[in-house]
Amino acid sequence: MLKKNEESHSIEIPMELEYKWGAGPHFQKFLKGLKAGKILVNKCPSCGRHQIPPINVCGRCRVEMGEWEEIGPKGTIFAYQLVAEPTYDAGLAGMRDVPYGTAHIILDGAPDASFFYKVNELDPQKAKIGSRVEAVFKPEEERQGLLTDIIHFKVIEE
Amino acid sequence: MGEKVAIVGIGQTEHRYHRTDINAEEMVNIAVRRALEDAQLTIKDIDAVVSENMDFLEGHYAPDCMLVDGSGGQMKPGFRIQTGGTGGGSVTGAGCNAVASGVFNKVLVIAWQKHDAVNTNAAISATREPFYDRFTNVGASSLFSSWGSRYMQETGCPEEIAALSRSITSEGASRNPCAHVRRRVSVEEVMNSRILVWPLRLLHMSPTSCGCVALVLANGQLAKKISKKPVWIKDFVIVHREQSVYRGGAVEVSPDKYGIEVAVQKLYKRNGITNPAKEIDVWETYTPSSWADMPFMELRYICEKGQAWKLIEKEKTRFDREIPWNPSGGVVCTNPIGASGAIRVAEAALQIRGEAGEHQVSKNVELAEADAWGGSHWSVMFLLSKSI
Amino acid sequence: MNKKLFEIISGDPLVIQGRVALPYKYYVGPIATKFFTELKDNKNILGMSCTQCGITYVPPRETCGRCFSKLGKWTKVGSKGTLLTYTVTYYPLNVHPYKEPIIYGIIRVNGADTGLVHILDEVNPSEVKIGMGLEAVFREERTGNILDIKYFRPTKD
Repeated sequence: MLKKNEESHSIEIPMELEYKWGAGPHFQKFLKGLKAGKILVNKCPSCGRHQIPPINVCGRCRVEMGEWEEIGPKGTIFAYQLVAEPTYDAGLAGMRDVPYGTAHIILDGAPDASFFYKVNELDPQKAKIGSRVEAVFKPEEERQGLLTDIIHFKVIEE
Repeated sequence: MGEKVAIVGIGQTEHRYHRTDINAEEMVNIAVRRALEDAQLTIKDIDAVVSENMDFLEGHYAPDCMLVDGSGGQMKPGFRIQTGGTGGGSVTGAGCNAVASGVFNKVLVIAWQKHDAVNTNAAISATREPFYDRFTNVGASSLFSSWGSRYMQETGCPEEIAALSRSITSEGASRNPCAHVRRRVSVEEVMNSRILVWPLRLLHMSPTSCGCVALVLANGQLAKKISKKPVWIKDFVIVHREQSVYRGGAVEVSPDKYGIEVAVQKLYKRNGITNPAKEIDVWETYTPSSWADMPFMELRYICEKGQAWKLIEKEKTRFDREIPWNPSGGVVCTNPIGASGAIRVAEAALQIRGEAGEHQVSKNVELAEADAWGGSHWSVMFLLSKSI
Repeated sequence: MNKKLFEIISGDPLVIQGRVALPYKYYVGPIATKFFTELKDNKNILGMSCTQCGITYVPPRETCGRCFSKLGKWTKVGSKGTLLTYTVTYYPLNVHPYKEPIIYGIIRVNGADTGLVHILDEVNPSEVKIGMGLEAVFREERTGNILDIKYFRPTKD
C-alpha cells in the first residue's frame, strides 16, 4: 500500500462541457440598446428600482417591471477592483490576462442599480469610490449586440 | 422548534491543502468514524444521514451517491444539500430540523470538500452569468476587495488593520491541529504577500483546503443519555435576501439591511440578547477574508458602525481576550468550502465543551455564535449553549 | 491555447455557444491504487472481502457498505466472469471510449459478489445473453486505468 503522505494514483479526465445560453427577451433588449449606443433598462412601477441586467420581474417587489428608459452613459464608481492575480477561466479554457480593472458603477438615472464592467484604469488612487466614469462604445459598425459593445468605462474629470 | 436538539458527537479531519493520498469517500469516512467514536455510538444507531458538498467544485455530480458506503449512508434515509458557502450551516440546520421534527432521533450530518481534483476558481466562475460577468468577475476576491476599499474610505481604517486581524487569527490557528494554514504570520508578512485584487492580498484570503467534518445530532432526552456534555443548538436562523449575485448582490448599492444583519436581529430578538459583546462568549464566524472581519463585527452589533477596526487595533479579538473572534483560525486559515460552515459549528461546540485544547478561549463559555455565509450574503446563524 | 470565449449561433433570439472547461485530476486513494497497479503490472483483477459479511467486492473499497467494517482482506479474483445484465448504446457522445454501438455490461467476475461495469466486444448485440460466460481482454500498453481491460468477450465454451 502507500507510504505515509505518498501520492496515490490519479486519473486525468479533461472535462469540457458544451453549453448553449439564450439571453432572453429582456437582456436581449438591453444588448440591442448597446448596439444602438444606448444603455436601456426597465424600471419597477412599485419601488422605482432598475435592475442590471434587466429581467421581467422586480426581485424585491415581485411585480412585473414597467417602462424602459435610457440611463448613463456616465456614472459614479461604487467600488473598484484591480485584478492582479491571474486565475483560470473555464470559458477561455486558460488563464486570464492580468492586470485589469473592474468596477461596480452607479449609472446616472439608476441610483439603486450597479453596472459591473471593465474600467481602463490600473491605479486604485485614480478610480476611487465616487470617481466619475463614462462608457466608451465601439464604433457603430463593430457593435454586435453583446456586452463587449462597450469597450470599457474611462475615468473622467467632473 | 419541536424537539430540543443537541450535538453529541464531533469529528473532523486534519484539513490540508491537497489530500492526494486518499479519495473523497475515504476522507469522509475518517470524520464519520471520529464523530461516532466521540458520541460512543455505532452507525447502526444512526437514523438518517444528511450530507453536503459543493459538487461542481469536485468535478463530480451528486458525489453523495459515490461515497454512500464510506459515509455510512447505505440503506438509511437521508438527503443531500448544496447551498454554496453556507452549505455547512444549511446541512447542520437541515439535520437539526430532522431531529426537531421528531421523525428522526439521531442524525449524522456530514459536510466535506476535496478541492484537489478541480481548479476552484475555474469552477466558481460558472456561478456568474455568461452574457454579463462570467469572463470578468473573480468571485469572492472581487467581493472582498470591494468591501475592503469601501470600509477604508468610509471609516478611515488604515490598510494594516486587515493584516493585523489576520495575524491575530493566525495565533489561534497555530494552536489548532485541524487548521490548514497553522503558521503564525506577522503584519509585515501579510502586507508583503502578493496582491490578488487590491487591497486584498494573498494572506488576507482563505486557502482552498480538503477536509470533512461530521456531527451527530440527537433529540433532548437521548442527548442527555448519550453525552455528558451535550452542546445545545439553542436557535438558528436562515436568511437569503440579497439581489441576484450578479446584479450586484453582495456589493449592493442600496441594501436596506444585509442578510447577516437581518439574521442577527432575528436571532438576538428571539433569544433576548441585547449586549452581544458581553453575552456571547465565543464567535466562530464564516469570514473568508480578513477584510470582512471589521464589517462582520459591526453587522453583529459587537460595536458601533465604523469602530470595529479600533477593537482589532487593540487586539481585543485574540482568543484569550474579551471578544474571541474565530479562535480556531476561522475560514481565513481553513476553507474546505462545503465543510467550512459546519466546521464553525463544530469548533464553537468544542469551545462550549471546554475541549478545544490549546486554542480553548480563556473565558468560561456558556453561549457561542457559529455561522455560515455565502452567495450574495446568504446567512445561516446558530446559537449554541451549554445548558438548555 | 486561448480559444474564443463563445460563438453567436443565433442572432435573434440571441443564443451563444460556449464551454465550461475544468481540468480534472482525481486521486484514487490507496486501495484503488493497488487495484490499478495490479491491473497494469500483472493483468490481475483484485477484490476486497469483508470478513464480517463474507462479501467480496470488485472493485475493492475501504469500507463495507453493509456492516461499516474497515476492509483489509485482498482477494485475487479471476479475469473470467458471467454477465449479470447489459444495455446497448447507439447514440454518439463525446465521452464514449469506443465508437457506437457500445455494449455496456455489468459483469460478475468469478469470486466476486458484486458487479463490475465494463464493455463487451467481439460479439453482436443480438447475440448477447444474460448469464453468458465472459473473459477480460487486456491491452498491451497499460497505464493504470479501468480501460487497461480493453473489453470483455464471450468465452469459447
